Amino acid sequence: MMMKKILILVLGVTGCYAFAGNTGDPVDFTENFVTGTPVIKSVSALAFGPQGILFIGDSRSAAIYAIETADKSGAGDKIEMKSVDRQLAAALGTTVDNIAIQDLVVHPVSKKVYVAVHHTDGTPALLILDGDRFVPVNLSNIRYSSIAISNVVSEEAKDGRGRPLRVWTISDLGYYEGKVMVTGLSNQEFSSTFRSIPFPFRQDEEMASLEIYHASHGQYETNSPIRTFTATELDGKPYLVASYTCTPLVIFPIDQLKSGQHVKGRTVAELGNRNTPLDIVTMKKEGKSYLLLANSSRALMRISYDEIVSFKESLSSPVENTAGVEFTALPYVNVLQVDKLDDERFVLLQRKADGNLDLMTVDSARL
Amino acid sequence: MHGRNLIVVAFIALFSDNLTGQPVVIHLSGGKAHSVTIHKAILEHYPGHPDSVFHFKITLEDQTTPLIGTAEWMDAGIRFTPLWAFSPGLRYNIHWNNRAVTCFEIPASESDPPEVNFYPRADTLPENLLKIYLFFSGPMSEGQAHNHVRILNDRGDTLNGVFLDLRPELWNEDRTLLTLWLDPGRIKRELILNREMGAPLQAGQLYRVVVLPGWRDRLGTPTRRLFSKSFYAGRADRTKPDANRWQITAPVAGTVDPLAISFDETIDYALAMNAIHVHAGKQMLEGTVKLDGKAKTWHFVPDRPWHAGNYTLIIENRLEDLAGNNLDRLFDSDLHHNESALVIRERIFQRKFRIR
Repeated sequence: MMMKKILILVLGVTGCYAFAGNTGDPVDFTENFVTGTPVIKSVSALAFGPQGILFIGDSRSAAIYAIETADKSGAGDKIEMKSVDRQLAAALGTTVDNIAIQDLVVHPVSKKVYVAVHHTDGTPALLILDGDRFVPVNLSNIRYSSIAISNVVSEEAKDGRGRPLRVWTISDLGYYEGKVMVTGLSNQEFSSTFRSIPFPFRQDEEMASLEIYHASHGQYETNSPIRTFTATELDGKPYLVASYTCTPLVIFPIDQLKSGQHVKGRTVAELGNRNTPLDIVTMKKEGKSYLLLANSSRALMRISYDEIVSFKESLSSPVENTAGVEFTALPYVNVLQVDKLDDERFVLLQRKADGNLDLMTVDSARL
Repeated sequence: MHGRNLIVVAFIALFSDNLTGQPVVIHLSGGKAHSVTIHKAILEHYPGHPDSVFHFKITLEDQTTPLIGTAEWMDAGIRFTPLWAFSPGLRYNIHWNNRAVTCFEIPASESDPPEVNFYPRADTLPENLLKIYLFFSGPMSEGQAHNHVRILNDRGDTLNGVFLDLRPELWNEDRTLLTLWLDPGRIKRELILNREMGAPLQAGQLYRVVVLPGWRDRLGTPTRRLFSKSFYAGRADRTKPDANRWQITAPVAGTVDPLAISFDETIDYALAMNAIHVHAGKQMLEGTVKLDGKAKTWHFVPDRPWHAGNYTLIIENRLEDLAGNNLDRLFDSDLHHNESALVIRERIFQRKFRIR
């Protein structure tokens, strides 16, 4: 019994620390964190990283925050809540038409749902679903680090009446293998900006900022903005799988995403008429890997990694409605957010036919 | 007190026999009700009046879920600060020991209704127009564009699926400028969307952009009337802006007369204001930029008089025309005609000029 306890302890420690290169030295990702109260002006996107670190994409401050959550491991109970939006509005003292859910993620250790909400007047809130009630994430006197993502020319330029014009809205945020990846939309130029920021953040380190292009049917290429993405391993190599505001699903080898480069991705699918993918996660099921895609006007989709790998060509000929790799439409429509609860279960935020926005847990066997 | 100088007393007694004359004080700052103080006299009438605040909660009038916030005992009573400011026009119940003891209502906003302006202002716009900017007279609420902006054809019919439904919406920092994209999937040649639905606009047709009444500002005051702008769709613009073709009219040394640049086409408003700079050597000059109404002439008035000498106009390559073509690449590059966007040039383009 004692041996088992020790073994669990050792596993627990290795689970919390990554090993740097071949040196065998454990990396404490919070080593350069400071204690204080970050002034977070907006919560545009959320992602969890190692050691339960929560990354917060703050468009209004043009910064990424990494905060220590110190959440203890949880029971991993099924997450269910009816009319989440109404419950959030009531807890925030307003009506449902005044709130917008920005992002929703599951803490990898505590298995609790973290949700980012904005008031229509722009006020943010970051909440945890604790049982059947929402509580605010403590942002006072916490350990955190941050990095500015505004290094564009004339960031502070204002119009003739002194109003700041340019904003860079974070569209998605993710952590993969020591890098925080962030995509954004400008309110001015129509372009795709992707940044890959080494983590732990170092203020003197240059972040990779690059333009990534994709072609449609081999003829016209563009660098339109990325709406959502995930990073994953395909065929033994790390790839960025990105969906664009104009529907194509495009893959990029991560090792080619170097600063200042102009990288052309491979379009592997177009996901349907007037449909924008809203969220992408990876699912493992019966030894195989899949992408799960939540869509604005299509059902939840499942796409096999094997299909993507074997689809070697970029889309090159006219096709009907949707094209490229095969996908399976799952019997879940109007899914706005999806995240992994554990290896067997996923949490979905779904707008039901009765208009309610429900949070539910679904076994991967049904996906 | 950080400007918390405006205090409004508003109370509505639910149990008038107990509470007549007992105030609930709403604290306002910047037009928002950020906290409320409930006088201790109200709370003393009920059992369990310890120094603890755990018996206290506030809910929306028609809800049971307590508001997230902090409650603390002050000399006057309990001060409750919700995580978000109370909403104008809503009524809240105060509970003490699980009983509703009184309620209060936040006064509706009295701000002037917002006004709206449009960019681009030109009467003829390319059929592959990519962006429309809406300028508001004050900070607005987010998330309402989809329900309030329309493009109508000359018969007054609403065009479906014209705008990209972007969440989050693209507002500037103070939420007075909203960027709307016409659906790039419909504009971009050869995408399925483009082939099935066609481009949002057709050359030769008359259109009207309309902002419907009811779009609430930051404090909840809605637009009261309809705002609109009519335009003709002209032929598609599939050429990059060419800064070599712009006419530079240099002012005279010793004056603060404007430097004038005449574009040979209408340039995107926000980028024209933001992505063109004047340098003397390595020094960027401070000054004020103005565009004429149709965004075809750009004026720069320096803060200090011009000196005779050489200057450089620095144009960031991200500068776009109305169809999203920038100095570097077309909105959709036709690879079959050697228009590949794969060449990255310098991030800026330079034009020299001289002040005499």
